Amino acid sequence: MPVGDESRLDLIYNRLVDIVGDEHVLTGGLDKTIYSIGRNWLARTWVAQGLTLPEADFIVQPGSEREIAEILRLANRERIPVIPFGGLSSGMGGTLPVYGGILLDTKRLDRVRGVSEKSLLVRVEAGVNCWKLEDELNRLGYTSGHLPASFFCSTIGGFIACRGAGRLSTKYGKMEDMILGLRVVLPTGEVLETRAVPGHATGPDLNQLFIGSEGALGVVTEAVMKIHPMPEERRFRGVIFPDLHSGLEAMRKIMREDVVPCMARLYDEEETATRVKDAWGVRERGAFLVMGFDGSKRIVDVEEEIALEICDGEGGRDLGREPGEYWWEHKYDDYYPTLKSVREYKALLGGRQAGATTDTCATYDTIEEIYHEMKRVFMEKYGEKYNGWFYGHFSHWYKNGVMLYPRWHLYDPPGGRELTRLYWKVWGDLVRVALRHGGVLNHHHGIGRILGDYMPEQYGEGFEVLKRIKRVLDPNGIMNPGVLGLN
Amino acid sequence: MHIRELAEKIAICAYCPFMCKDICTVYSQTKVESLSPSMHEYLLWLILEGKEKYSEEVADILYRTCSSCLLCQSWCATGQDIPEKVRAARMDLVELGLTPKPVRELNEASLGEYNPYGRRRSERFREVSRVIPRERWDSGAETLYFIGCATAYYQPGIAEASTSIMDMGGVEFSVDSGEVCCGLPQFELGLLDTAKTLMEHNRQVIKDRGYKSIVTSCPECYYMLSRVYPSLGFDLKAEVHHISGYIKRLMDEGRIRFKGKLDGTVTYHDPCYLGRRCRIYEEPRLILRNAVEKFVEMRWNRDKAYCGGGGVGYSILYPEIAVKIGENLLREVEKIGADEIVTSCPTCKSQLERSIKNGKVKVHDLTEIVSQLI
Repeated sequence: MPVGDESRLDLIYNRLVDIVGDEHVLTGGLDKTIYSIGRNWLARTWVAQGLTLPEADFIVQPGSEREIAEILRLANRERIPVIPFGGLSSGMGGTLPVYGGILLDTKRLDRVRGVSEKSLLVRVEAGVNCWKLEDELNRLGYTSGHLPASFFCSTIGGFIACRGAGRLSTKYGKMEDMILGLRVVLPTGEVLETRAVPGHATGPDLNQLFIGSEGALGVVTEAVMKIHPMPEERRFRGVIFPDLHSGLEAMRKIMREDVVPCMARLYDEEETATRVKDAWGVRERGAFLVMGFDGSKRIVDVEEEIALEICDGEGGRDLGREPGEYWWEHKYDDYYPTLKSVREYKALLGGRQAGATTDTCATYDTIEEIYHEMKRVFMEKYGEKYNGWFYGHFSHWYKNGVMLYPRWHLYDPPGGRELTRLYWKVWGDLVRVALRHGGVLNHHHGIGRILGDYMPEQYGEGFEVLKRIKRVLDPNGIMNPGVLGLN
Repeated sequence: MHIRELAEKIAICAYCPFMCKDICTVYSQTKVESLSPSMHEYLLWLILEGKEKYSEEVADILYRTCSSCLLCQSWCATGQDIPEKVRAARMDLVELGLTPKPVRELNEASLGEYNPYGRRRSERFREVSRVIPRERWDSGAETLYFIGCATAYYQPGIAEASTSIMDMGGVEFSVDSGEVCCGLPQFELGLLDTAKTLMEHNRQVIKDRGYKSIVTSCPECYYMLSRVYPSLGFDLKAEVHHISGYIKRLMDEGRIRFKGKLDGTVTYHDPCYLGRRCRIYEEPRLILRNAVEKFVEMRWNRDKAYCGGGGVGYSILYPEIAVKIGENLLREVEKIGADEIVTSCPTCKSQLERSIKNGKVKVHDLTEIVSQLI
């Protein structure tokens, strides 16, 4: 659905300028390129290979919900794709404007509109940066409980679009658990507002229709989110298990006891021996668990005691507070490239190597099997041939299951077009392992344009339901075409 | 290319997952991705790799993108100095003749009128000559009060306050009719030859008059005279002091005393070049705590203080963005319930005055507060 010839582009440009003002319509070639690059592997590899990136025709920065509604009405009338855009942190290509159109940058909707200390809620616009929101709440003695790796660059709207998760999601939940109400501009320009209540029995929850919709069903402009008093106590603990299985068993039993750590990250033996050792100096062999508890001191005392008892019963050895406290203090440091690590980044994002994270979620019945099979498939088919590694950790825990965060890397893959072909193949093979065992395509990044083709395999007949919903809400198919496998 | 010398450092930012993006003073107000630190550094990396070329469009990004405030470094786990890399790129752009028009105009003004504003050189001392006693001009004293462009053209009250403090402290000092712009705006904008011309002019004046000590109330002049001049081989053979440290010394020696305290709730804004560049955080606070009834800190202060938007030519080149940056700082002042903000920089003061809309918050320079109380 290309936008069309230059005179039509000019007409649309002038209408957009009428709506948002000329300083908020970016048309520079470099702006368009940069908005497409981001930091996702695919776009950076294309740049390294000298390929032309897909680019938006216009980058528009509306300053209000009213302006967004006008833009969507224009786009719907003119049949122009609209790609809602947040902080450019997606690794899944969810905002790559592969069909051109209007890239709708929501970051000027940047107000924290109000806090209810009584009901523990904050009303926040979609373009508010996660760090800025947390900073505003911390001043008042509250926290959103949402501390993702992309804390400093991502937006609340982006997280809603991708059903995002933060480091403390085991206790505070993912985005779908944090939202009470939404305002959404529909593709045809109407504004929908859901009622911000803790619960109801009046039909399906429309919030959940839009959370995770990756901009395919409308533009989220505002959300009512839960907040929490800053905990009186936040305490961490490191435990080393003889192997991954015993660590998984311990955490399953901890969750079963209704002990809810604010965070728990269990690393497999390989990641413990490499990344954990390098980053935090933990030299023990086995599977390393770092867990934290927060809340009132009395509750934290009890939770920590029970959790450590269970760990002990599964062969876990308490390493004390230091490893966990170190992790908390330095939880973002690992992401800053250094003179050493930048060499790897240059190769990985410079068209010479391949790597990704194929995170999934499944119940305790199957998650261990998924982990082992993913690892086996990767190493047998790719790792040994192209000099690769595979490791993983488990870091978002539920009573019924857990998220697996496997990471893989190939040091010596073929170059050129074969590289991206290989990338797709690895993704395909690994997500199919998850799907075969009842897991999902993704747990906390969204699926963007990389995994859309697998949606029918996860959803079955449910995918037809999604397609019908899309057709009703977005009859002209203007909203972020291509994401979620919805064209 | 100047950026080649910084290639590895540029790569570190180019491949960073945007860790300082929303910290960045300019990005957080413009919200334009090409102005984010990581993305403009990626652009430089592509240029280094031969996949992109310097152009007027690249120049527009590299001048708009950085107010040289160095706030990014305070949040960076590896302590990257992004303004240093931007400055190297700007030097390349200058050499290639690709600078934006306002930068070319600033350069011409600097060479023709010896200030970055394009104001006439003959008017440099028009205002300050009314507030600094005649006998202080070119007086032959060994201590120089270096006025600086921002004070001379826009904040003569700071010169009046500074010289009156030095006077009350019994300091024999001179102001010099030969001083010109210190060269910092030109230096940060990549106009190194112009900066060096100005530096040489000042070096010669300071040498000819035999100054042994220089005091300035401008953090940008202070940084330039005390750090950049020596690093580029312009040895002034004189101690350089910022007025805040100088006032503290006069207080410690009992040469000036406060007669009372000012009412109101007052906060302090750390100027980028005094704070992050020169690490002077405590002297202004020690002075203010003695000078006011109620002193409150902003949530982000010292090395993490917000930039006010005025510095090193940025407000000359991009006044609309600079106003937004100042407004952001003033919102912080309102949030903490302060009704007065004190800074220690003429450029910060001017920028905050331009950013004030509702007039709720009053802006002062530290020297103006001190001079009222002694």
